[in-house]
Amino acid sequence: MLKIKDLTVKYGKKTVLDNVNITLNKNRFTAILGKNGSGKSTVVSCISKQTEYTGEILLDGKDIQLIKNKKYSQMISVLPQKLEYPPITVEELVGFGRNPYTSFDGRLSDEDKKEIADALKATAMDDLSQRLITTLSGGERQKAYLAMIIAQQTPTVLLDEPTTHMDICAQDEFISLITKLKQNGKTPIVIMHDLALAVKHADDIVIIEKGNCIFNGTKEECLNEKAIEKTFSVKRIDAENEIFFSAQ
Amino acid sequence: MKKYIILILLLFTACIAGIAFGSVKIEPEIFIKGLLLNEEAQSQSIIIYHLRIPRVIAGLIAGIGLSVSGVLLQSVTNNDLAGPNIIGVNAGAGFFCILLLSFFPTMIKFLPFAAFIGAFLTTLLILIIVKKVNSAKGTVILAGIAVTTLLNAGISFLSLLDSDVLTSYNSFSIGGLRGVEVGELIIPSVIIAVCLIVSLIFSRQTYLLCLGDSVASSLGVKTKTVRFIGLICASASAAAVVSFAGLLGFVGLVVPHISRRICGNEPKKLLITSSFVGAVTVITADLLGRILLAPTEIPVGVLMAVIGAPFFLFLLITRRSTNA
Repeated sequence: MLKIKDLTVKYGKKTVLDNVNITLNKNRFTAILGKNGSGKSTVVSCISKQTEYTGEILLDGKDIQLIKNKKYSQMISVLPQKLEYPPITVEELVGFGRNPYTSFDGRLSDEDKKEIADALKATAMDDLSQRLITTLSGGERQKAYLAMIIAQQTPTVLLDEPTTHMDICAQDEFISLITKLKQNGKTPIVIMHDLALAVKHADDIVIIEKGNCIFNGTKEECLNEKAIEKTFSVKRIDAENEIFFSAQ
Repeated sequence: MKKYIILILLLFTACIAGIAFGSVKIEPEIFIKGLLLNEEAQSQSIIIYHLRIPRVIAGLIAGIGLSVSGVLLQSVTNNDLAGPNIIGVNAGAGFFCILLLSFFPTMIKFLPFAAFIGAFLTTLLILIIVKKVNSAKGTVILAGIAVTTLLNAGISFLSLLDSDVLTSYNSFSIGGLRGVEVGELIIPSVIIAVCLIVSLIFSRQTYLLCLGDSVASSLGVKTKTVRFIGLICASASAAAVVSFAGLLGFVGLVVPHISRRICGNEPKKLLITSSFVGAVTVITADLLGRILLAPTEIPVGVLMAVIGAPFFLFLLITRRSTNA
């Protein structure tokens, strides 16, 4: 379980997150929603220990600041919104996912190699394993990074808007891969900008607005309370057992 | 493995050529005799052991030191246009040299020491600035450019005050291996060896920095520590070279790029390959400088700039076309 208590982040005089309290449950697909600049990515940055904050972030009851880097990287994997695409092969990138388990020089054991092969297979990237990341399409690059996260084998997976630049087919394929992670016992936490996609796949929803958490509960509660409609000024459209949102 | 054998052979050939050729022509038979300290070739022995071998060793150390520095800087800043001169190592060394020449002109023998102190203090200043702001890859480059500009202004100002200072500073700023003695290479060699070993130990962690700080940190890398160690090693090895060879430009920038085409991006391979390529490059440039216009000598710094600057432009152009 990931518990965020009184999380506050200030950049100079500007308060980016103001006493945010969020509880994220195990083995649930949680979508974090919010308008641009609401503070979603800052939450990710705090969880990945990249931003200084006040308050507490507890992972399985332990303050993340007290967990050593290597141990932490075996508990949670983080994929930020802005990714680098260095000239390395897909296999190398996925191999990096084993870093939390390898010795200091990064030598891969047979088990590491098996995990890498499995991750490549799970994301259908095995045919592209020797391709350079720089030569892949946007969707393939994201899948390569997801394979790296799968190889990292952490119980909790945190992804910041992973489908932003994907077409609809690639988005669907990517989200179904994340759903599979949940089926395999993991806890995916995904920042999403597509409201309909979030409502379709997520179990729980968190809404952040102007640095405050204004909703933290199940998808059903969220829909009943019309939290999405109120926050994003959209109207709900129910069509063929699916929920869509459009501007009012 | 085949590549490394070729590199070892190239280095061996460059060393032998660096000892065998120079402004004074030595016939092969006499060269062997001189090398074996035969009494019949006493003057050639002096040339070989007192002039050429120290220069070849200096070229070897300078090439390794600057290349290691370049690879580390490019890795920790995630910027393939970074080099020792970008983060202000050269400007810091140059400023302290001109400071010494201006205020203590009789203490010219302490020039290498001043260069060393200047390079170190500049790097420390940049590290403090980076720590104050953040340790993002771009900050190092920006801080380096700002500090370099400031130091260069100081150099120009002090040069204007005294034309003698300008003359002494010029030869140092061009960079060269003339008159270098084996004794003065011991401390720089130890520093560069330590930096190379530390860099090799941290090479895997350094490699992961190419994914960006967030991802690298999520994979268990202590990004700030790894970047700090990389910067310290980069500046120390470049400063060690500055202390005996002056401000040799472009080696730290160009050699990692050549090496990348040979062995790829993995820092461990890149550090080893760059060490060989750097040593071969500097020894060969120094040799060419000695023989091209013999008996006049072209400083190795000038030759490196002649080769390095067009290569730098080539990089910029190909980068632009790739991005386009």
